[in-house]
Amino acid sequence: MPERSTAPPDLTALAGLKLGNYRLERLVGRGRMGVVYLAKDEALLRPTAIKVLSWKVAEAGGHDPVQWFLSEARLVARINHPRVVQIYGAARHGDYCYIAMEYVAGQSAEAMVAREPMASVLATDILIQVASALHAAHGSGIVHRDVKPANLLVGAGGVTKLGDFGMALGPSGDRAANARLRVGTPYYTAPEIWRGEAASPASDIYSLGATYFHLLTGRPPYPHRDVASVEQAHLRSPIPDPRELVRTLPASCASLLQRALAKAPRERHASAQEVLWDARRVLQDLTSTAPAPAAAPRPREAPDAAAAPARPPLPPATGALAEVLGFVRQPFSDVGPSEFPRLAEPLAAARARLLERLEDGATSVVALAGEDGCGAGLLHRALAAELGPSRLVLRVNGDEDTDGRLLLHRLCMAAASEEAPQDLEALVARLDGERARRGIRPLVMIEGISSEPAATAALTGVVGAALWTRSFQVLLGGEPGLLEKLARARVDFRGEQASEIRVAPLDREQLSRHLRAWIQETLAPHAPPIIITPDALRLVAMRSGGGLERVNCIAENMLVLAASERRRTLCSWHAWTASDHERWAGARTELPRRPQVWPPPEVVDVIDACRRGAGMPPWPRGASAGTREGAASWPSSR
Amino acid sequence: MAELAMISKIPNVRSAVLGDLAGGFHDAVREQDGETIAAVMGFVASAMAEAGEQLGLGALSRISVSSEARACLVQVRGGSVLTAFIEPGAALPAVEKVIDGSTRGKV
Repeated sequence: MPERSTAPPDLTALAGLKLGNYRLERLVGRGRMGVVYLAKDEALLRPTAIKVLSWKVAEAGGHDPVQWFLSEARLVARINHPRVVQIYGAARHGDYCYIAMEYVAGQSAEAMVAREPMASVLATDILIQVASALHAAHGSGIVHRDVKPANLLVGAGGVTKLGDFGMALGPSGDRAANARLRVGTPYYTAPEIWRGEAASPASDIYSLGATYFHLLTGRPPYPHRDVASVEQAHLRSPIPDPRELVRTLPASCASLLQRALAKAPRERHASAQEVLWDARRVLQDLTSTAPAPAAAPRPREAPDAAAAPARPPLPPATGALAEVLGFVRQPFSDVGPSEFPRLAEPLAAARARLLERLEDGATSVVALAGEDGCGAGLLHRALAAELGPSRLVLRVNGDEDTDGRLLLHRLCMAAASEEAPQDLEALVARLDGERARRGIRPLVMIEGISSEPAATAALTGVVGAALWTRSFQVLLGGEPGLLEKLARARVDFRGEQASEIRVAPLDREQLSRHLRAWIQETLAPHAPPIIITPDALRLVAMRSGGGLERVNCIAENMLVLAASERRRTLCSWHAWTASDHERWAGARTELPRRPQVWPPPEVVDVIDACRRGAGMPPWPRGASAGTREGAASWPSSR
Repeated sequence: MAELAMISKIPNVRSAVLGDLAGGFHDAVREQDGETIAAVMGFVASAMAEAGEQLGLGALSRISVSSEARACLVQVRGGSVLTAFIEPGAALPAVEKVIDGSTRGKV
């Protein structure tokens, strides 16, 4: 369906005219709003495209031509994006209004596809670039309203720019009245626009989908000859499958188009960025002639630590722990489950499940959830060290991200991305490059996720990118319910069975085994044993809530206290007194001293509560236990 | 509990603690740190019971340790561990005799 030019005939004969610094050289295009000349900027000596307004169109629309024309320039000037044709200036010169803009040496996608359908790789590459530009426009509150092959300018090396914002709708009130005007080119116009609804980013996405269909197949999705038939097809006809026209296209290509061309705006991609990610995935399918080489399966560690290969040693014990108690290695220091499976037994199960999911090609997002201090942080660190040699691992903290910008900034910094510091698109491109280079998806680990809504929005972007592009995997760490929270924030898991792996708190049995294993592993082989009373164990369980990191901290401090008393028995006083948040080993801190009488009544009440839970009789009170007079003196070395 | 009261009344028994083989603390007489003693003696009794099994002694019933100044007697019955501290250490045989007599009397 040829487009009829409404430009007045005299506008096509302006070659040689000078408008400001620009000497018009030759007519290179014409459209509904005016004509475009290639001009020379005589001040900067560069080629420039000059768009000259067609007065007739502006007058016919009943608008002030200068304001109408300037608004296009102002809208585009809001968008600072390398894939949007840049505006150099706008002015009125005599009888002419014109916009000076970046000249793209090349041709429009429409001209390229006029001869034959584009190669699918090139078409998809163009889609990615235009989706990126459109995402930037939408981010600036601008709806293009006329996305079509003719407005995609393909330059050297396939660099494509989105141009002609003459129909665009900005966020300002003065243009709101135009929102429901039916503009655009019929072949690419979304159903809701035909119904008289307002244009939105979703209608641009539809137009982009229709454009992509055209590039791939050489014709628009509904190539009827009259506008009424085209309208009905947009509104009612099934979405065509491009593979009926080009059989070699992958299923992902058809899937992308099914979504972008959905009749209902809410069923389309939620943003142009999602289109971009989806397109990246299509590009992966198109460019991978053979499946990407899978990473060599990593041998699983033997359950017995003694049978494991050489492992990094635990740090040596120092101070009173070494000198008084005879520890040769620092007890309760941070170790990963793969290094010392017996010591990190509580995390081993979670680690095994995590690795299973991360090695599963279908999984893009996994959450590792647990209460504060449960050991998830330790597992994150251990996994980062373990997986780092085989793939790119980015590990960042998601806390304190009140405005949602920190997360992206931290990720870009971690990725050492040379692109704009907060550009998700650049980050995804970098990760995708790593995936292609190493043949295994990078892993993005985000811990301690903040509950701020803005932070959730930033997280949603990263998770969405992982799900759509499948260029990388995401491991989230935080409190239980993370994935539900993301689902409530409308993250589309795309049918993926997202898993939240819980790091469960230690029960009393596990806690006891954990403490004994650590002491046995780090104490000198012939040193006398260290004994922990059952009441001390119960208090540690209560104070730590079973959280591994807190258990480790309390236990180490109990040993420090015991060493300061030259005792080898850890009792309820140590468990009650040892800090659960600050490590005392090696610190020059004044340690608490045991009182003359232990436990005081308020502690007895707590111990009794713990004992009740364990089915034990209450702490002995009464005449027999209370007889303190004449109590035996007991050497301090026991 | 009755046995604890009985032992604590034997002459030269300075203090006594009742615990269990797991090291749990149940009661004490004239002892400020019964919790620690119960844990240590629970550990010792368990270790000695294992040693006794290895040596073919059968079920462990008593352990005693003595020096000139002090002695410690550990009586194991079922899961209970009763510990008595004796001063002077030379009084240990007399205390054991009283305990044995008391046990026979009970039977």
